[in-house]
Amino acid sequence: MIEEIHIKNFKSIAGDTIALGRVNVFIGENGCGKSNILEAVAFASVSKKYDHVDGDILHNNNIRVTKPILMVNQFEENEGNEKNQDNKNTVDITLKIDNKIVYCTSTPSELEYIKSYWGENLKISAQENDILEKMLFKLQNNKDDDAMNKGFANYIVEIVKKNKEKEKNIAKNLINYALYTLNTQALRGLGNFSYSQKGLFGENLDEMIANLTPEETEKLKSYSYFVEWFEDFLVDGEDTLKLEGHKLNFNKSLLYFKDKFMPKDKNLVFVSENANEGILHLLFYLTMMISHKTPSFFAIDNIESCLNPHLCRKLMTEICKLAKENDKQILVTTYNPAILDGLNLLDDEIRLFEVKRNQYGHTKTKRIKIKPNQTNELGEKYKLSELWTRGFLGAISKNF
Amino acid sequence: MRVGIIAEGKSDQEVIAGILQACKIDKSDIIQVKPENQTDETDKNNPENSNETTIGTLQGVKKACMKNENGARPYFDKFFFIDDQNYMVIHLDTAEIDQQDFDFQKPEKNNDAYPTELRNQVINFINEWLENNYADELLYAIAIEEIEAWILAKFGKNTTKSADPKRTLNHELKKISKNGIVNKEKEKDKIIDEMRKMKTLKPFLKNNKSLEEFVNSITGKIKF
Repeated sequence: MIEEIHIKNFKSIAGDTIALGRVNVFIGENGCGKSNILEAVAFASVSKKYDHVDGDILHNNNIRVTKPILMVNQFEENEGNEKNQDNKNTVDITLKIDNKIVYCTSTPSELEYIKSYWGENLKISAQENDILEKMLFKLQNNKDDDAMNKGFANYIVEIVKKNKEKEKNIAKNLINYALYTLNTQALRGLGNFSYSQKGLFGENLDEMIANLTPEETEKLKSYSYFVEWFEDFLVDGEDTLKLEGHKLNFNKSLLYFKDKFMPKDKNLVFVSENANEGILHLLFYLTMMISHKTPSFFAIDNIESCLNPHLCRKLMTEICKLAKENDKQILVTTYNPAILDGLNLLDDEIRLFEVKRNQYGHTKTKRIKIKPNQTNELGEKYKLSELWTRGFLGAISKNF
Repeated sequence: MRVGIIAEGKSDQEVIAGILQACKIDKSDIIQVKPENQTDETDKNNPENSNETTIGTLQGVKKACMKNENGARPYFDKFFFIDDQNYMVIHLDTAEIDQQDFDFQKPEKNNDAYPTELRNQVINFINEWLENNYADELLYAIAIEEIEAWILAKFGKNTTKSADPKRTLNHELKKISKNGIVNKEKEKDKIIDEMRKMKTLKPFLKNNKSLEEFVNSITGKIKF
């Protein structure tokens, strides 16, 4: 699990620390910097994954690219500003993962060139191993050749080995992080999203479903009650249905649906292009949460897109359950208050954050917590969605 | 730590938010609780609702403080439901407080202690509405006579007992504005901006007792 992120000098974020849970929902007014937080983690991820990071790599990983001079925070220094005094053009991202610290420090080679290389210095804190290895050296060079010394040395060797294994897993978690921004055309198998590295717009939905195990497919189908008309789906791996005239040539999707209201005896199937956008978004999110092949740590920008408010709430409740069952950790942004009603904020693993610009324009996050056992004297309770829309949570525009 | 504001009007909220900023509360930590857009456009345009108080007024503040028909105070309950939302500012202008259907008698105006006495009297009045609940969480923005007197304090005169501060402020703004009404509003915004920093707000305090007492109550109550 990523326990904490510290972002310094990235886009609108001069300096901010976020203590994460398993499911993390970010709300705030337009332009407050929610997506910048998701991108900052993607920035750290690509820094670990690639030897040389440039504008193209950032773009392919769903990070909005500008001239590097604007990728680093350019806000004027002010009270409370945590700007890096040594190098103002360096992005620093620090992640605390399973009690280890991963540092990512990155400086562009040219501030004005959009495709500039970003020289990076990424390392995992090895303080514990450093100390252990020093102890080991002393033990191994000790003249007293007693059994206790040897036993202790072997014990330390084992711990160092385990620590290194743990570091590998940490790196894997971070490398596999992906920031998804679903696009209905991509989900339908239309348009060209070939530059995307990992199906970040939903263009690989058919492949993701095809890769599910039978148990995972069964689990996914158990959510069929989410959509009234849904009977079944199938992935036509050989693309034979195209030859039978079920879709036009330009559609790349292999995902087909059956509608429960259509006659059963006629084998009427239709390609995802003809399905409503809501079911495609739903299938994508549920598959992400159920599949063992999808990243264990990922982000979704604007999760509510194309979904009915009632469905938003139910989906979010299920996502929280599935995150625990399948050991996933997610970052989510939303503009739909109904998403909040699916969160149990009394569970410390489920966290809600307000993202805001402070009076100096810097993006800051604040965890929203509910006071335990807080009801009015009549015992009334309040929906988070209502508290948000009525302005009691903040995270709304104040100028009108 | 966040602070909510229940005020008579939107422009009052803006002045109070500026003063809170001067007292080191970040703009993003100020929640405008009332007036708010309680109704949608359909309800707003429905002639059936023409008699309802939908915008902020003195009556609106009273309504927010009093228990509703179900016996609840939803504005307070909802605001304090969230952790780290610890203070609520209640604003009232005193100009019309004895003219509305309130049982309120103002103290003698010629008395030097008039602003403090009137402020304390209004605070007691508000506490009656609230049945003395939330005492530790409340900050009282009592403007004598109108909140415009606080802005008017910019012009170097003692505005505490100004009879018609709104009109006097308009007159002063007109004098410093070159091109009529648009610039008058801009000049007013500039003054409110000055009120957002303690260094530039301090000279205002000398010229208005009720403003000074409000600022002192914030700095005395809110601990960082």
